[in-house]
Amino acid sequence: MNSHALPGLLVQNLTLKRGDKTVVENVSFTLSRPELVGLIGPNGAGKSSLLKALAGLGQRGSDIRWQGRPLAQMTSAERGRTLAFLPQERSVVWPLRCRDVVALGRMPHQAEGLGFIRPAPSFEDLRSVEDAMRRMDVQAFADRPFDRLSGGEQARVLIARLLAQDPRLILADEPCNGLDPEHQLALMQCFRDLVAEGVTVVVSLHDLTLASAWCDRLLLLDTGKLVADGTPAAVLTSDRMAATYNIRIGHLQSDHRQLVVPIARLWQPEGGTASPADDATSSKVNCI
Amino acid sequence: MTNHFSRHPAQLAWLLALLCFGLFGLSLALGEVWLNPLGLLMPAGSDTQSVDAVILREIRLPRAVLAAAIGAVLGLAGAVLQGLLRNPLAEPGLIGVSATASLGAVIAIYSGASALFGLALPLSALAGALAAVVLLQLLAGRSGDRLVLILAGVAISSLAGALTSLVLNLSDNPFAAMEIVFWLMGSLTDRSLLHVGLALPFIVVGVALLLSCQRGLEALSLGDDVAASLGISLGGLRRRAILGTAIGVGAATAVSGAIGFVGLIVPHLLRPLVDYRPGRLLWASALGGAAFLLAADCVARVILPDRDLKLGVITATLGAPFFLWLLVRLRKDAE
Repeated sequence: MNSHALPGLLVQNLTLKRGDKTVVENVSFTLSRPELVGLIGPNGAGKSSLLKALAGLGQRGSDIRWQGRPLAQMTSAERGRTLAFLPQERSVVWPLRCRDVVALGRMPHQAEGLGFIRPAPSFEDLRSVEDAMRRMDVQAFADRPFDRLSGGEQARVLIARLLAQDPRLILADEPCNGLDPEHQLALMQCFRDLVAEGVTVVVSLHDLTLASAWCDRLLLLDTGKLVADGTPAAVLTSDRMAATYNIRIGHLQSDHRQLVVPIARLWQPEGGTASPADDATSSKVNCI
Repeated sequence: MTNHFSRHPAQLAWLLALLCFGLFGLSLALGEVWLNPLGLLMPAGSDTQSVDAVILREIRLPRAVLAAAIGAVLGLAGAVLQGLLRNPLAEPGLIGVSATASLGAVIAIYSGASALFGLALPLSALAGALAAVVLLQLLAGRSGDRLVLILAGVAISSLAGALTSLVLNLSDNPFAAMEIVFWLMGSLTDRSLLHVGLALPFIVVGVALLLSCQRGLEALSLGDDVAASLGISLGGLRRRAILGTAIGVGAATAVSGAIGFVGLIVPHLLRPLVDYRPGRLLWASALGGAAFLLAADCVARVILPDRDLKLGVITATLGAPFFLWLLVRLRKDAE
């Protein structure tokens, strides 16, 4: 296929500043085929800033390219059809019905009309909205106002909005926050399904277990620099986790996957109490 | 939580349009003499110089047209600004347009220009409104931060208010001072087709700019970042909203004086009926605003016919208690 001739997402020597502070420094990577990419790193590592930049927000340069074209050169409508962005903040200003929130994801696909009169949603729009709601298991409250839902339900509705956009590239900032374990797993499964359908998915994650279980590839950021890039097994080494997160990790064998589990902090400030697993000599977790 | 209109959105538009139409007819018919509004549609050749025809054409018609147009632009601008600033308390006055337009008008009255040249007052008021836009763009244009925009609007309003007071203070002619005070109350009495011709083109341009914000405001309900990622140009949206408000509300203030509360109340009242969707609220608020101001103008003529009750006084005295009732009801709903 033609679209495979050029790498999907190419990031070259990207540096981002917030005021005087450099939040992302000289980051380069290429996502050449549909993958589920986990963006991991401690608080303040620059994950959110990087994701925002990848979404084309506030970007002027040509250091980020989608299929060879700098993001800054794409029209905003084209960008909207190509990539979808889920920020960490989950607010909807007005108590919109959930179905209307999800339907907002169709906006880049809809003709602008005259601006005064908006064309009715197409069959394609309705199908995408229903499909996204089904994937996120939110049909049950489709007609309820957004502000009457619990935090986790709201999160799922907003992810459904992201999916309804039918993008080629999904950029989600901590999408698992606030989801119960079942829906965390359902979300990761949904991302895997989308990858199989040809979508590239980049998610920032704090949960190393989810990252090791579901991602094809991990990008590890530390103080703005990309310190590791590779498969979960290659990135989540004990030494590296000790250096970046200051934690000791253990491994858990489940089916054919080796999951990573955080066990204990390595160094603690004066007066800190020992964590429960601190006395364990082995970092091996017994598998149930 | 669905209402009848969320299943039949077109019915709300028809209902509001019908309400406007009815009140427009009532506004033509109502006054010291009861007239048949259909008299306007008299075939050519019939008695166009009869007293009734002249009253209808020269007095009632401009008043009804202005009430509908001004109400529409006030309601619409309120809905747009509430969506843009994501603040249910926003109204056209918040960004300083009404205050600077009033200042322009007051200067025209004070300087005597309005006595020499009838259109000096509305033109000066319009210039005041546009000055507010230039100031706003200078103060808040670069950052695009909504808090900066609100604060800049408050600063401009305060300054214009202070200068208006200064003009009143310096006015040594009590009649000029009286005229200024009455003008500030807002009214549609004794407006001619000349005023309609002056204000209407600006109001139409303003309404068009404001209605073009529909898509952007819908997307903005998910926050700035998501709206931008959905393909909305936030800078363009803000410029259209502010310029549309200034041109439309500026022209409205120029011919009617400051009429408050319409832009605040009408969007509030209609928001539940459009499922809180900021885009669909725009059309509804324009129609609702027109109906509200037509109704208020009818009330102004009926309750104290010989005292020339000011329209701005009516909207505020009706509006404020109604707004309180609305807040109480909203709180009950939330519990």
